[in-house]
Amino acid sequence: MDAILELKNVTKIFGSGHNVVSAMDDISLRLDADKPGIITVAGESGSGKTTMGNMVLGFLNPTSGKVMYKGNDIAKMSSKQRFIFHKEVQAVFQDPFAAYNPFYIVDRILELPLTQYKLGKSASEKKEMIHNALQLVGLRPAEVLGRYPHQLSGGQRQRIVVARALLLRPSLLVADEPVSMVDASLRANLLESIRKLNRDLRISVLYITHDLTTAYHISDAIMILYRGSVVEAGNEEKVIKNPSHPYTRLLIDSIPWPDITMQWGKEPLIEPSDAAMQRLIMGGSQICKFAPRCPNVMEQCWNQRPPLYRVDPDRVAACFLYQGGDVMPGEAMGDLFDGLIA
Amino acid sequence: MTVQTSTVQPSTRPKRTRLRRALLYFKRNPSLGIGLFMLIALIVFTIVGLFQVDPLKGYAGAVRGSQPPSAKYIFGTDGQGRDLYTVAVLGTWVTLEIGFIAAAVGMGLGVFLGFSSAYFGGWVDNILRWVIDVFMTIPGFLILIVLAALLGGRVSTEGTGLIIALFLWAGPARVVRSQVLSLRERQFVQMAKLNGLNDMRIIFEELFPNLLPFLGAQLISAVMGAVYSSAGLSILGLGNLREPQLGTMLYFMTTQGAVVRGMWWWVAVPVVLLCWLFVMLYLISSGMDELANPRLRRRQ
Amino acid sequence: MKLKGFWGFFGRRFLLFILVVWSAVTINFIVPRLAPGNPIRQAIITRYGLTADQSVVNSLVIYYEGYFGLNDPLYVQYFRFLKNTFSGDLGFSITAYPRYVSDMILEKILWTLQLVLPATLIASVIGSLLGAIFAFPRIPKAINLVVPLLILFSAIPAFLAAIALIYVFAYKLDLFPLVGAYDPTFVPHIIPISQWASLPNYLHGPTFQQILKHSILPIAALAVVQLGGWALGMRGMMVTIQGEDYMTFAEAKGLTDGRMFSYTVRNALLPQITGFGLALSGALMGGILVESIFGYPGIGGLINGAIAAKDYPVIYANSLILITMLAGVTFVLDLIYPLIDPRISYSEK
Repeated sequence: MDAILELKNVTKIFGSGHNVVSAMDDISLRLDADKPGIITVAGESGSGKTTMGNMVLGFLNPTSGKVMYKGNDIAKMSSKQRFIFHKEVQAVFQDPFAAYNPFYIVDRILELPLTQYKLGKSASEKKEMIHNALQLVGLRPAEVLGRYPHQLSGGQRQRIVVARALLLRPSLLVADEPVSMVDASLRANLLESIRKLNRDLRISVLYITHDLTTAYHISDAIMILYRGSVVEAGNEEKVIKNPSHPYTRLLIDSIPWPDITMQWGKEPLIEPSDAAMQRLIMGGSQICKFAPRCPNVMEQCWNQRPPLYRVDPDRVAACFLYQGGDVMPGEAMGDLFDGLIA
Repeated sequence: MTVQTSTVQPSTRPKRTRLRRALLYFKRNPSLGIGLFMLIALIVFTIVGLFQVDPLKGYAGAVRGSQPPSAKYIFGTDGQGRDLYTVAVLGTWVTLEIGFIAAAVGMGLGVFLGFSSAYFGGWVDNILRWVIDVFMTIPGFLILIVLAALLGGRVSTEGTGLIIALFLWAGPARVVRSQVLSLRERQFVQMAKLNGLNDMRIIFEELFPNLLPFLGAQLISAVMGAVYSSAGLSILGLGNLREPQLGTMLYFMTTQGAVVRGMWWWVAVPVVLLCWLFVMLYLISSGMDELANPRLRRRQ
Repeated sequence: MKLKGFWGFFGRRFLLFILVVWSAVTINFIVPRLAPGNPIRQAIITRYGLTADQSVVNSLVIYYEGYFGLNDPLYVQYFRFLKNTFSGDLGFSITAYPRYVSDMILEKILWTLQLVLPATLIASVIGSLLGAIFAFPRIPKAINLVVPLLILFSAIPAFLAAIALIYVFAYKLDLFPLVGAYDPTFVPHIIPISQWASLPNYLHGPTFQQILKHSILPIAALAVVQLGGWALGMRGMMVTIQGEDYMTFAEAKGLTDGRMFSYTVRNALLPQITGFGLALSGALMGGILVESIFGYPGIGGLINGAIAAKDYPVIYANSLILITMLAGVTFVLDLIYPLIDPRISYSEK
């Protein structure tokens, strides 16, 4: 039971003085090396999901708690450990243009890591590896190699980044909104490539998204964040088909499912009052952060932070509606997910 | 960016299209086109001139003084017996030399400090930001006067350049700092980390190339500032009064009453050449700015 | 809410102002000590030679040795220098002993401001106006031909413009006097500051006419080189504002072109104010050189004479006073700008 990635009570606070935002509030998570799965982290903008991705990639250090890769605290790695860590933990980013340095042709992001990480013995072997990876994501090497990023389409650029991930065979891939900026027609292809990485190459994937429909298609387990806190987590089918937390209900309800029998937008939208927002700010992490917008809000929600109640054996929700059920400690999140990955 | 487009094409492409593309670009960015044309014209003038002039005639007393332009002295001579054609051919480059020494040293310092400020952050950044702000608020020319006055006319061309450089670094440092800070947030820097590059290689291979057009524009405007300062010091009699540079010509021309003596050629040679230099540098610098900053381009 | 963060902003700007003045003072302390020997003593001896009244030379040398305290440890010298400077004692002039350099400078600075302020004001008004006209949508294309000309002028330093103007308008066309602030034979009636309330009475007098006649060319030289900067800045600001969503919205509401134009001008003018400090600083530096060309009796003339006579205290004090003045102007402009432009607030990131 070696953990490839482990987040232990991670909190990240941005800003200082009066303008403090906690982007992550006591979040724990664990991915096991021998059971690679696809875990979705979902939430609206500002939920802390991208902060989490950046932390896993070692671009940010937590304010408190630990992010560990193969048992080593990322924040305390030596430069040698960090080099290996970067080799084994790769990413696909949201903006398929920003990931490229406009000064260089696209070959650079494929060739450079091969050279740096000493993959491929000869130049011709490297070339073959690159060609194979490009073909796997449906690109013709002659069409894209030797070109500058601005000469390619967004879909081509994003597929090259995915091909890069195929090429490097990391042990963990952070995919931060990989399909939200590409044409709808290409999404299936990219998601399929990511699934292939997981199934065939046994790469663990942290799939970060605001789009629950794509999450539903590819992930094994899901974690829903709201303002830096976990609101619901567990079996993704149950969470999406039958949400239990009022926020998840609202989120699922706003998805325009391609099914005319399903009603859409029936949940009431609550515009939080200024007084409610003031209470939210005063409460910090000691209250339920969804209280100002919650249709089921109770007085208790303003005074106490809801723990993770077990709604089903494989699903938890941080909501007092489920008071009386078993309480799962946050640290047990890893075991919960572990059971879900086949 | 257009420069990149021209390098994109495989080199098998005929050269003519590249030239045509460059010409087409100059049509969109006339500042750069005209500025470079003025530079080429100046170079041609100098090369032709070098075959014709005797450098010694650029010094006082070498030829008969106060002669209007003629077949023998095509730009005339000044009141102290310098051949103005010789001064024009050689002095323009001496003037530019001061400018380039000052700008290169100032830019080097500015780029280094700007990078350090952005890279190290923390207290290094805090201190450097204050120092930059102070240097940007102090009109450097006043301090130059103080320094030059103490040194009298004993400063060499290179020395003048170095002194001027002391007040040229703050602008480039500020620009480089803010550029690096904004580039550093770009995702390709994160990608470079994932590619296994260390910080030094990220700075030189990922950030620096993107800064080149900015640095070019900054360098040229620093040259302009340096030429202005050196000419200004010369007018106050604080330049090197022996060398035949344009600023020195201005000093003698004004102190010896070229205007009231009606010696229009003595007035015209330094004034026209300095104007040529300033306009040329200004156009090249703003043209490069446009090249570096597509947003500026769109605004036009 | 407008004043939120004011004191922090004020503190940072004031600290910058203090740092600038302190740097200028410190440079004045260091520079004379960089040269071998004692430059001021040498200057005194060079100036008065051995034939002059030795009591003057001796009192000067003694005064300056006391002023600099060259036998004390360096830090004592430095703190005494700071104390003297901040209490307003900038020393005596070497050439015009026993006159205080601060008095000489304050007297001359009025002549300089009399060129620099009108030039900057005129250039900013005309330049902004031109810039606004360039950005007016239905302007004849021909007007845009003026733009390259303005760019050309903005690249050229004022001292070159001054030489060209003298040659053409003073020498060739003989429309204006060649040099000075008044005719050599004329004795100007200078009003002491205490009597400035009676200034309007003099506006028609011969002194005023003399000064006006002699000021036009230097002012023109200082103004013409600024024009392009003001105009291009204004045009850029206008074009940016015309592209803003709220302007598209205003157009969609059916506002007339005239109303739209006056909206844009009003919004574009405010940022121009920030350029004023910088323009004034540039004009002052340019003014020093333009005065040298015109033989004008302001700060430029004073510096010129001081350099020729190696009157170091005058040169040092000049730089200190001008730097303090300009830093003060920048400080005040920085403080009032957020008050007049509702889009800017005091709180910085």
